[in-house]
Amino acid sequence: MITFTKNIDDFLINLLSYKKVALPFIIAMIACIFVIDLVTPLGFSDWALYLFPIFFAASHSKKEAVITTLLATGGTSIGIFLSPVEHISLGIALANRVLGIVVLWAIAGIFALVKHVGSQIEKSEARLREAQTISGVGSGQWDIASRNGTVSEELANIFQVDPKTGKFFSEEYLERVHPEDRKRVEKTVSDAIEARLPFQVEHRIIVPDKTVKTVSVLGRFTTGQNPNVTYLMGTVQDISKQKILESELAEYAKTLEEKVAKRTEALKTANGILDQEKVRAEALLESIGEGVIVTDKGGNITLMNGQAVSLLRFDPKEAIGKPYLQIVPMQNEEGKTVQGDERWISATARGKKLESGLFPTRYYVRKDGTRFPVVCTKTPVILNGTFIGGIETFRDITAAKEIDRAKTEFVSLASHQLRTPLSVISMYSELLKKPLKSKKGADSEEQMLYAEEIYQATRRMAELINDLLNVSRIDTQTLAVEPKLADLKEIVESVLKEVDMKIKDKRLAIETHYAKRIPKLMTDKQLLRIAIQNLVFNAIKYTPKRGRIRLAIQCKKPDIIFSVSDTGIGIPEEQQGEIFKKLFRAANVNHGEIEGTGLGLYIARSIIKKLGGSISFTSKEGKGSVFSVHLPSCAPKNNDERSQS
Amino acid sequence: MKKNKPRRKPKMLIVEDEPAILRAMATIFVREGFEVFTAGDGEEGLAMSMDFHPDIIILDIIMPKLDGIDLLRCVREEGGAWGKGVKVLIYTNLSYNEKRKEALTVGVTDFLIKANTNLETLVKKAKEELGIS
Repeated sequence: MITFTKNIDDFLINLLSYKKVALPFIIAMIACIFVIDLVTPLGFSDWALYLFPIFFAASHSKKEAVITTLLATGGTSIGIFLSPVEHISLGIALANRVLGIVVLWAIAGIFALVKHVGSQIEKSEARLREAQTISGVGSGQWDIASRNGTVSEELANIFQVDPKTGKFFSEEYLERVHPEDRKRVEKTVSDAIEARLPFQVEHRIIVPDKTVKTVSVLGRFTTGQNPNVTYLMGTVQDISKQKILESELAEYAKTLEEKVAKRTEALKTANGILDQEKVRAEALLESIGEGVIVTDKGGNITLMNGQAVSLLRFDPKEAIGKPYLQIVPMQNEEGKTVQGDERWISATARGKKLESGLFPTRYYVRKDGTRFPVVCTKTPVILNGTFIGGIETFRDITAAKEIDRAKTEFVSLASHQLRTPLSVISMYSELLKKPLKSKKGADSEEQMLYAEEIYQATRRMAELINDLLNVSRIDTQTLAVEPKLADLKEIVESVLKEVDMKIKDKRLAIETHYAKRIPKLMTDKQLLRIAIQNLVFNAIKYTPKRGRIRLAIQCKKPDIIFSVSDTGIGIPEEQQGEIFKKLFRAANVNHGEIEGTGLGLYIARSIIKKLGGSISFTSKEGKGSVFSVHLPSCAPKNNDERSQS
Repeated sequence: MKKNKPRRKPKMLIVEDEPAILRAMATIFVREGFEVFTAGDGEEGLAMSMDFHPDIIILDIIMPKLDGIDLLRCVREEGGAWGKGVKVLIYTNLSYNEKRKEALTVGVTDFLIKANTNLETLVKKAKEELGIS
């Protein structure tokens, strides 16, 4: 019967709006029907039938209302024909009934509709309330003129207004606005009223329990049926929580921003420092006059400086990432490839720093086959105790080698040149100091004495030159070892024979203790003799007149021990750690009285070491010293290429 | 021992380019009863060795014309039976380090450094090699 088109909807809403008008109208209509029915002769019993559809329509759902109305209408119509018609013509009675039916039918319809729409509105109002509670949005409507307003439950909640009355004057509203916001709100609203434009405002309110809330208000103006009355419709949302969250968020964002800014700044600084460090490190690497090669733990080249590239003459692009051992082959003096511990990973991986010296000389071979002598230092790179690679620095020592060669040559030549005139002086003084059979006498004796002095001085000079030569050989590691079978006892005896005169001069008592069977030694006789000579010379030199010197050879397999004991001045305890150092002379030696170069023990120990033996001593100042030489009875291991000149 | 014939003086050749040294050496060996020949350079020394077949030769290394090592090599290689058996002492101021190895390979009897070996020791050494007490 009714289609809820939009127009009808509007009509009904309007109708509802004028409920108070519609209800008296309907009552008046029913009264009219009764009056007509009384005037016209119709049975009173039919009234119930007339009212029946209205009651049903008022109390049932839309569908039922329609059905019952139709049924009632049908029933009434049948009743018309059944009821007796006495004093009225059938035409009038029929028109009367039809009119009654139509009117009643319309009234029932209106009831049904009112009922239905009312329930719809109730439903939507409930929904609205619920929505308002959930969303925290309240709504209100104010009459601009009277300032009287009705507000929703939620708005009442927000403003803590009595919800039962729902009344909320705009003055009351303003009272609750936070004093600081009041002017602003008043101005916004008054401006909006003047312009009749929607507005939005956000402000704080203080509700009766002193809580401060923040609300967001959306307002617009509507005019009702009466164009002179303007309403302000508004929704109010409590955004306190949101505001708190917002401020918290803003605070958080601000802190975050600050932190980010700080971090960014720090990072910038760090990056700056890093850049600076990098540039500095690169400059440092390039400024070094030595070649620098860096490898990873696998021994592959990761970095090299310009000097390394120019020394080795290769393309860095070809070298990076390649095995270091393959790119930089090392050779010894004879051109054999050097491998093993002396090279890269194996040694540095154990955390050892490795340095090579001038001797034995090592060469790096370039790609074109040429080579140059190098001195290199290899250092492991350790991170948290883990070996992560190695760094080698190396330099070309061609110039140093040349200087060294020139020096060696010079020493050799100079000593040769010095020795020749010395030999002449030595020989002639030797000839002079021996009495010729034909000449004898005081003059000649005195001359022989002088000749002896000259002879002794030249001997000392010759020994000094020997010492210097030996030291030079030791220092340049060019001391040649020529192992041969040698008789230790024979060497000791020959040294003793040499110093016979000195022993006699100082009236020293010499004791010798030789083991019965002394195995022959595979050693360099000449060198061993120099070492023993130095020890025996020292014993004689530092033992006062009438002292005792004891020479002994013992066999303690696998070693043969030669020892020299004396009753000499001894070595001060605090200096005992230094006696094998070059140019060492003990503090208790009267330098004017006992000559010495401070080279003897240095030479002796260097030679003994070279021969595979060791030297040790015990000494007590003022009592004497014992020097012992331990020599291996078998051949010294001659695998050290340093022994080849 | 074969050469130690009591009546014959041992024949010695000294090859030395430094005249003062040569004279001193000659003097002492003459005093000690040697028959001494002297030569001032290597070539002369080689010629005299071949001519006189001395019992012992004392050689310097650095000498004009022919050095001591080469002279020794020639004696050993071309001197026949005498050349193989003759005692040859190198008496030099070159330290043994530089030349000793080479001298040993060409058959030197001993290698002595002038500065370390006085005349008395040299005489002893020569007599020892010849078996003269």
